[in-house]
Amino acid sequence: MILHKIVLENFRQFKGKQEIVFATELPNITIIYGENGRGKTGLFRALMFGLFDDRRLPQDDDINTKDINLVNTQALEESEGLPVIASVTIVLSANGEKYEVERKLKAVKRNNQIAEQPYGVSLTITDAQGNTKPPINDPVEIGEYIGKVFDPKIKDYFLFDGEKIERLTRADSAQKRTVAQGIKNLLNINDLEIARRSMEIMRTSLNNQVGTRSQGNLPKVLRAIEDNAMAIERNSHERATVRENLDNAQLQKKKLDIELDKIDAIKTVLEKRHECMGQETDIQEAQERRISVLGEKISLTAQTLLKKQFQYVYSVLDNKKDAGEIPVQDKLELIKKIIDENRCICGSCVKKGTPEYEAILSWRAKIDASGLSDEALNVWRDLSTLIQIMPNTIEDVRRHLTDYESDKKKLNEIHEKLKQLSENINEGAEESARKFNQLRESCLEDIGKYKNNLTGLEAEAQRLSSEKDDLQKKKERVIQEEGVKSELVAAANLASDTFNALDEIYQSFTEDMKKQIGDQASKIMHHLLDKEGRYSLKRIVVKDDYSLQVNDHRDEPFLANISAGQRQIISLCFITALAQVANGTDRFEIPLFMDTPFGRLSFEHRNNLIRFVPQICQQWITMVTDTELTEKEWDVYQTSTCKCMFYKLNSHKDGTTEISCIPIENVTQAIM
Amino acid sequence: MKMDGNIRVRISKEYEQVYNSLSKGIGIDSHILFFICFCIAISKELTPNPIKSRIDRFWSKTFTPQEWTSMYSVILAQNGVNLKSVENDEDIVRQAEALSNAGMTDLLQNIPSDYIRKNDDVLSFAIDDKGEAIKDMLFLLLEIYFNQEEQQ
Repeated sequence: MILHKIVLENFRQFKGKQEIVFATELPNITIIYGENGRGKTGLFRALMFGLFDDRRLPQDDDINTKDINLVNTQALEESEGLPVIASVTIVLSANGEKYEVERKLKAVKRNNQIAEQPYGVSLTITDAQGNTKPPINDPVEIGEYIGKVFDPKIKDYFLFDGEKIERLTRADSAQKRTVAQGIKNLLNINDLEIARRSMEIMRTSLNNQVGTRSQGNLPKVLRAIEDNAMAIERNSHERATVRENLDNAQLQKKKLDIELDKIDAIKTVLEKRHECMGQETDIQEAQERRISVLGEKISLTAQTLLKKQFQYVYSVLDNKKDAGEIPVQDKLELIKKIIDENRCICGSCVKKGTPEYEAILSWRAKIDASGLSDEALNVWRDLSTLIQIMPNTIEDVRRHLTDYESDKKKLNEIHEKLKQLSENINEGAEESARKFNQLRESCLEDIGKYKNNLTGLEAEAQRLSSEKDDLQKKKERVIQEEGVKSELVAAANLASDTFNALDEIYQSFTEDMKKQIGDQASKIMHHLLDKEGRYSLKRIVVKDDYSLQVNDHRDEPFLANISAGQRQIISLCFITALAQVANGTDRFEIPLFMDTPFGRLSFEHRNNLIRFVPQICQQWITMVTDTELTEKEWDVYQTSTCKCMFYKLNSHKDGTTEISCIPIENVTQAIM
Repeated sequence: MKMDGNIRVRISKEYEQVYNSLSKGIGIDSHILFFICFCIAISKELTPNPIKSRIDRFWSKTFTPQEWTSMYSVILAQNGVNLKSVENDEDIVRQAEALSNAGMTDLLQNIPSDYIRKNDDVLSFAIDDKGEAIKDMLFLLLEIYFNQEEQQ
């Protein structure tokens, strides 16, 4: 199917009549570019409305239906209470025929309430020879025609919503239902499942009839067979539930392990920070002491500047002292004693007026006249000490200054280290670790419990399976022994054999499809992932319970560790693979709509997507925002060999949107 | 040479805030700063600069015996070690004041300019990091010491 054109009139943001002509030549891309709120999703909404009369999209789940108006509200405002007609016309081709479907809505706004109602639909088909058939106006008939070219069951896969698509990789029950439903819808195995279920009901009914109409042991055996079948089904459901619980618990444990790993890393950082803080305190204290010592050394250091004067004065005083010009206290005391006692230390008398007495007085006068005293001696003594300690003072100060500089450098390094460590520390990490550990313990308990349950249920499944075989044999033996021969028994046997055959086909077909989809998705994934992703992610696996798993290069589950961008890529791979397997070809046969596909993707992923998608689909329509399509991405589009159409959604001053077709040569200017 | 403690030691009013800020910033008492500047002046053989606008800053009793000895020695050295030249402590102090005043001018010229603040012609020291200020003060003194050693 190829979309040729869509014409909108007063639909959503688009006031008046506006149209988009899609690129159709293979390979092709139609880019619809606009800021958020300009109506990109509104265009997809128009397609779904035009083709299927859909008023809601899957992403409207959280919105009240009444809140979604399809008729342009500005046109309604201007109509002043009169009805406004909105319409969507879609022109498409499939199987050599051209289809033009036009669907209308009528709306009126009164008392601030908008009432919308269908206002007719028409379909015109032109065959390959150019003959146009009379228009069809019956909605049911139109639905049948459209359904033939575009299966409504797969319409939800028509649009890839970049913002929401990654939900497919979440391992929850809603995701599993979505994936399972997607597989069943696209592969048309719903019918097979219905046939299987119908045959099961028929088998049960026939067995019941045989049981009520037979005598002897046969009714008992048949009842046992039915009980066994019911037990097998119950067991199968229980196993599925326990497996799902086990998977969830294991996933939860994995997440907790990741969190605990982070906290463990933080613990090491905390220890390092503690150690650093201890070092910091030690060095800071030593530094404080050193600064205090250095402060005390300032005066002594200044004193060393007087070295020359000290040495000169000291040497002069020292000489005088040696010459006896500087008396020691003993000498002065001796002179005083001789004069006071009039007696020499040798015992001879030194009386006043004697020459000895006069000599003593002369000696004292000489000392007094020189002015030399104890103070001079003190100076001599102090200088002696100061001169001795001077070289030590300088060396001491230099050593302390070197240590000060070295510790200062160490402190700076520690501060820098502490800063880096602190950036990696989330306060309260220890409390979180305690909580995570508790949850992990609880998870481990659950995992143990589920594993035990599963072991028990698997043993029970084996027992039921062998019981089933035994009962089947017993039934055949009883029929033979008791000579039961009737058409009813034959029908019941046939129904039972048919059910078993269908069940086997169903199981092997779904297994085969899951494998094919997984293989195809893995193949696509390797085209789309960046180099790092290709190395770390090996393949996509559709598990028994329909959950998606991504295995790393060691083939170990890795889904919990991948980025949002990688999740988006993997979801895209899965859906594309699903469509390819359903088609049985490598090409996607319905147009591929992508809404904001690049939001979470790195440039390399974007580059890969732009180059790869046109190879796998007939028609690619991307709706991108200004942040997704920059000159860089546009350069990649231009280097591809695709036929490209470019539309820009411009905001009009009244709040409506105008669609303008931009010639390729002007695109760079338009997106700047 | 009695180490008279009852003399008022004076400094230039211009440097009052320098004394205050260094006392507050790195705990250098007035007698120490006075003595440092005195030593700088002697070492660099600066001409004594008599204080024009003087203020009483501290009592001479705060000088340590070593500081007294140093001052006596300088005056003795200048006077051929004539002990009479150091008999009068007040004379010693006044001579030291003029020398210290000259030394302070030199100190302010040679200490890293980051430390000097001048608000309304009032000079002071701005000290954010006590350790660094002490280090820079010691570096300055060591530089003078080693220059002096080289010259000898």
